[in-house]
Amino acid sequence: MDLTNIPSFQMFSRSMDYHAQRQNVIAQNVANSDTPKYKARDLAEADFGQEMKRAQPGLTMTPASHGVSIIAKPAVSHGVYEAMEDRNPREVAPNGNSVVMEEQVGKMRKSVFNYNLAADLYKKQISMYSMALGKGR
Amino acid sequence: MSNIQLLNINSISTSGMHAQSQRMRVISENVANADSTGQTAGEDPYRRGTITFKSVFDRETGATKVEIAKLGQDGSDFPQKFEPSHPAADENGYVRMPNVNMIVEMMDMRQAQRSYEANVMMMDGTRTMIRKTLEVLRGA
Repeated sequence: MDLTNIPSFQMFSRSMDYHAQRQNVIAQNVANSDTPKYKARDLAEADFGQEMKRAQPGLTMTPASHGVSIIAKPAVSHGVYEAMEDRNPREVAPNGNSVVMEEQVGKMRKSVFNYNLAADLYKKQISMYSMALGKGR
Repeated sequence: MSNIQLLNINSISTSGMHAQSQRMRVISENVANADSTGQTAGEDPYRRGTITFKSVFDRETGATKVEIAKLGQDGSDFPQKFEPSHPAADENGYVRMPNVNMIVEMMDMRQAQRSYEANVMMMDGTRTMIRKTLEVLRGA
C-alpha cells in the first residue's frame, strides 16, 4: 500500500519540506548577518495548519498478491520555494546589511517547531494506519 | 524528504562561525596592542586592524555563504598623548598612540560573539530537525 497518495501525508511532507527550506534561508541570513549590503531573505508565507485541517485521509488499496504491507515512501512531489528579499526591513545597518538577528532567531524557532510538529504527525498517522490494518504496534 | 536542505545548513553556519571567529581574532589583536607605541619618536605605533566580510554564492548547495573579503588597516590618525618622559616622545613631549578605541573594540567583540552564537543556535535547531527526520524514517 503506497502512502504517498494520501493527501494528509502529502501535507505533512510538504510542510516539512517548506520549513526545511526556510531553515536553510534563515541559516544564510544568520551567516551573513554582518556582510555589507546583504539583504535578509525569506520564503513567502504558507499556512499549513489550514491545509492540514482540511485534508481528508483516504485509503488507496492496491491489489497485492502477498497481503497488505505498509510502505511509507517519502513524498515525491516537492515544491521549490523561492527565497525573496524582504521589501520592508525593520532596520538597515550603515553598511547596507538588513539582517535583524532577533527576528531570524524567532523565525528559526518557528521553523524548527513546525517541522518537528509535521514530522510527529506524520509518524502518528503511520502508526494509526498500522494499527487499523492489523499490524499492531 | 528534505534531508539535503538540512544537511547543507551545517556548511552554511560553519562559514558564519569561521568568519566571526576571524573577526574576534582581529579584535583581540587590537585590544592586546592598544598601548603599543613605537620605540622611538620616528617609529609608528600599532595601527588598528580591520576585517570585512563578503557573501559568496556556493553553486553546489545553492546557498549564500560568508567569507573574509579582506584584512586591512584603519587609516585614521594616531591620537597624541602628552608624556615627555616616554622614549617615543617627540620634541614637544607628545607620544603617538595606537588608533584603537577600547569601547569600540569591546562593542565589536560582543557583537561578534552574539553572531557566532546565533550560528551555533542554527546548527542546534537543525540537528533536532534531522533527528526527527531519522525518527520518521526509522519508525516507518
